[in-house]
Amino acid sequence: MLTIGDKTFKSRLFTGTGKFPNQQSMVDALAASGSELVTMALKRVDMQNRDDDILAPLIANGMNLLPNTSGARTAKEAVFAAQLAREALQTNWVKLEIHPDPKYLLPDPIETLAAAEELAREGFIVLPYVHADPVLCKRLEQVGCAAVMPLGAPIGSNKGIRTLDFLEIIIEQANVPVVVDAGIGSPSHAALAMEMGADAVLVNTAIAVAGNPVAMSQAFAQAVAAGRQAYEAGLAGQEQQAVASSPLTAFLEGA
Amino acid sequence: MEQIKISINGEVRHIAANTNIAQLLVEIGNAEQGVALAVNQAIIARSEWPAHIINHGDEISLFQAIAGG
Repeated sequence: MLTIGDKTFKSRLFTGTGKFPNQQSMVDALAASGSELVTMALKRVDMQNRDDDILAPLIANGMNLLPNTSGARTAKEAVFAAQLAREALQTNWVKLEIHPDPKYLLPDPIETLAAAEELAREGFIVLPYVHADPVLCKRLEQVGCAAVMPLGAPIGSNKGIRTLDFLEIIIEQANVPVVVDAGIGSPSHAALAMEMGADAVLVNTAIAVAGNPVAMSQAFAQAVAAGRQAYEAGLAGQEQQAVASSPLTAFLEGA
Repeated sequence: MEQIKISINGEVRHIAANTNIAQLLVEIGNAEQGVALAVNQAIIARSEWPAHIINHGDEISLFQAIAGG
């Protein structure tokens, strides 16, 4: 069981709700994933063109909601977005993300730290999306974040765990859960993160744009469970040289 | 009935004076869950909606939860 803030989770696969071909596909895939925490975004209502209400089916399925601050470019905007999300979704959980650059969507560490400190002070359960920066992750922990969410690769890139060496340091040093977010493109990437000792992973694009999102979400669920089990079992160490798995008896000699 | 002029997400509207936020959201068909609102850039808590009367010239920003990662 994974505990973050005031909640415990049986599934270590967190999922995003964006980019699915349609609402039914999203609801079905998320249900099949076993995920208990799903991210959502907030937008200004278009008075002419109303968006679908995606909230009702998620709540009906018992999902915990993690609103994000996507679209915020500064700490001030992110705090405002978090406060709006708290009202909209009636939760004090927030995925803090501040990425001013639309090309790579890399998180701004300075604004993120400032916003995290303010939001933690206001009683939010803050899960910041950050670069895989071990020093920043410790600072975020110190200002009261409930977890840290370092990236594996840029959002939506599906490139996998490109920040491996730094994620290892973050996992080694963290006293709060580490959720690897962004860049996870296949179940093997998710399994790798879990084998390394990540507490959870957050996957969106790789499930949402898969040929069959329901089947892919199940594949991710199995990979996350397998990776976690391997981590808990204790992986065998690596050697530079071969180490025989069979006894090297000499029974063929002299034949 | 006295009317006042307000804007909602930049769109000008005329509504009855002494309308509160809860009534306004019903009127514009946005009373469902997943909505948050600010009046003149100040967020109004859901619990205050029935008591908060909208004034002439108020700029209302309405937000809703949508799919996202």
